[in-house]
Amino acid sequence: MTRVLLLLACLSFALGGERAAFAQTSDAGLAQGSIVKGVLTLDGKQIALPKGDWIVAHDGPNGWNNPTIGAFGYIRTVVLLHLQGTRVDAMLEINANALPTADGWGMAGDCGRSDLVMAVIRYRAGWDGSCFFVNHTITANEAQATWRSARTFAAARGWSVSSTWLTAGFRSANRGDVIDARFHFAPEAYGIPTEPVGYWRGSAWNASRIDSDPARLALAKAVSDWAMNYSALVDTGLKSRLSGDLVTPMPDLKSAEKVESLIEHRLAELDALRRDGTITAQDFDTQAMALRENGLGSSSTAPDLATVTGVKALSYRIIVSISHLFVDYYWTGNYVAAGALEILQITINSAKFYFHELAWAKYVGIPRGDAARTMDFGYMGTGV
Amino acid sequence: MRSAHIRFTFDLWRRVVWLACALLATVVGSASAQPTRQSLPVGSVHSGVLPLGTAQLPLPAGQWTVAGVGQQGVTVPAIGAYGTIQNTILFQIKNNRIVAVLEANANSIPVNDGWGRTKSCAAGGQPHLLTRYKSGWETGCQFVVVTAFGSASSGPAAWDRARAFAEQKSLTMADTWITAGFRASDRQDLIDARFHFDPTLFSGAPVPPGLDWSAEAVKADPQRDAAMRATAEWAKGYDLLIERGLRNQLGRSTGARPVPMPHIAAYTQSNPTIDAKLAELDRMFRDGRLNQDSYLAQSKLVLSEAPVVTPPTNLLSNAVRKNISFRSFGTFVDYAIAYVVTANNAISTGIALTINSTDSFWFVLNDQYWDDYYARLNTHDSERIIDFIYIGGGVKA
Repeated sequence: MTRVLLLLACLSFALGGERAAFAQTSDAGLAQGSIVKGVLTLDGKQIALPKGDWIVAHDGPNGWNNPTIGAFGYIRTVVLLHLQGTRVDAMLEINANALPTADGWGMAGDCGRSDLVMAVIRYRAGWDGSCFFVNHTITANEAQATWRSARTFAAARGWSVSSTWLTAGFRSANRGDVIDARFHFAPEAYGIPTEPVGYWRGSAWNASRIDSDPARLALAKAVSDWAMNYSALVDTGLKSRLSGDLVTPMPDLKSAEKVESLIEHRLAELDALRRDGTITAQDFDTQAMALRENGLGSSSTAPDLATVTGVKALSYRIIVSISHLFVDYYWTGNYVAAGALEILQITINSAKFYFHELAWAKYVGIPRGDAARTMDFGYMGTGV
Repeated sequence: MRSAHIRFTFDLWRRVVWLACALLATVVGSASAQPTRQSLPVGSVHSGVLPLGTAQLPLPAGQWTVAGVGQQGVTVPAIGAYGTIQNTILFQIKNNRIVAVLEANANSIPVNDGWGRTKSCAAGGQPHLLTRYKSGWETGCQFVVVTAFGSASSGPAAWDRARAFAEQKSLTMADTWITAGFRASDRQDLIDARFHFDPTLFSGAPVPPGLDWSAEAVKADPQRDAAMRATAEWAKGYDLLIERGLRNQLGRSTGARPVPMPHIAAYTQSNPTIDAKLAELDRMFRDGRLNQDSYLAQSKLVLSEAPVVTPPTNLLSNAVRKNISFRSFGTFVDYAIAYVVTANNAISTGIALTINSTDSFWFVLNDQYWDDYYARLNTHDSERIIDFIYIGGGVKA
């Protein structure tokens, strides 16, 4: 009997360990209503799921298409729901490519906005990038098919769904793949009453109003702090390097539990290399200092084509306008005529220069692959 | 006494069970964790995919034996915290002869601002050189050269161990190799893999020592020329697999079978990655996840989507050509503006021609400053060479 119990204990322990390290892989569709947790693998990419069960509400093609990307298959949209009793306290909207491309993906438009609670671009170029933002999303008047499907699924089970969400969005892309993950947190789950507002600008979550509301500000700060560390997990998951037994906390106003900092993780790896003699103590000190000083940041943020062209046109105009003053006066011998010429040259030639630059870059010149580009998919709710 | 024996046996059995439990739990735990550093014991045999640093490396068909492992360092502080460069040497052995050597380097910890290029991918008369993309922080390139090294040649520490391994196993090797080298890097990681193939693989007969392997001599020898071309064609398809390995995506939509060695590679025009991707598109279309228009359009795109960097061949710089284009219609506009104000043909012509000459000078200077200096400075898109120690010092034959 004892042997049987020991065997059962052994099996239970082993299976329990497997459950704790629960990781799902799905290249085919996830069944609506199925539960996922831990680390979710979608078409070769991983998403770290914060603690708890996540229920699949939708999995299907987004409908987005852009032939300039190449052969990417389709953009797959997965919507997961997280429950607190019968309330959906968090919703995760994932968009990811089904097949790897050859020339990369652009950034999310929301990452470049200045009217949000937070928007951070860690690096970006024409083909890769990493950024995150915190915004609020209104789903009251949602018409997106994805959201209709998720809402119908939740309604059929009697779950209550918020109409205003605090959203932490992440975009990570390289030459082959893209992950766009948006966590929508229900403010009601954090003790903030339902907001009867149906449009984005009227919300108390608006960045211009949130400072005067301590409760909302505290939640926005907690989600922003959480997003800072979580963004590194999105980058790591893009290359399938998340630990299968990773435990990711949800944003919390009270708990001190935090998402593991990638810097701390890398420092620990460096320390392990030092301890096993792979690198010297001096190498460790040098590399650890570089990591502490530079963090995960990268200054490689390529300006977009329009910005480069704009500043180029401006600097050119300043130089040649001074030159033109002398040329025009030399030929006309008249201040008024030279002034009139100068004004016309500045206005007409600046526009001429700008559009010629854009046309050249697009049709004739060597394509600037490093110029940042924006690429958005269909998302749930109104984020603006 | 019997009772004591039974108790002892039971205690022992219980310990064994708990030990097994602990081992099982360890196995389950470690299987679920993503290893950042893989230990590759010398003598272990691999096929298909090799775990390498933080990435994966595709192995051509056959059994590959780890012959030596070691570490290398990078003396460029701008790289940041990369841990170490894991250097691994593998042999493919046939009848006690080393027919292929794989020399692989990869970082052990991801960095933030990328890796540079390798001198081997700078134009230098290689029989085959192809750059997929390059910027200050990343590179995708491949080359085929003839490399000279033998059992007495020096190299990195891993090679010294590999030579000792070869000696211990009484393995023989060539002294000249056809090398297909690959460098793939992104902002975080790097793979530098060099496959050295014994020319005997291609000829089927021993290659005489002391043979002239200069470019002219190889071109004049149909057999060796064919071997170089076969390796180049093989490399054109293989580099996309290395790209996938850099992102830990091997085994998914890259085809189920390992890619054959270059001397028996069945493909010359297409490549295994494209074939696998076409099959994936077909599956998605049949599953209803891709409509017919997208399916047909993407099936065409996939044939030519792998990027290739072509060096500029125009004698005039981009800025000069752009200036000519700008001036060709800008001068008429300048004339028109001047004529509107002065209503004088001679003065307007004078203004337009003077502006034409002075502004051309400013235009080129301004353009080069923004494109060649400022924009690249802002994106770290400047030349950065990162090379390691290679077998035989990477000496070309």
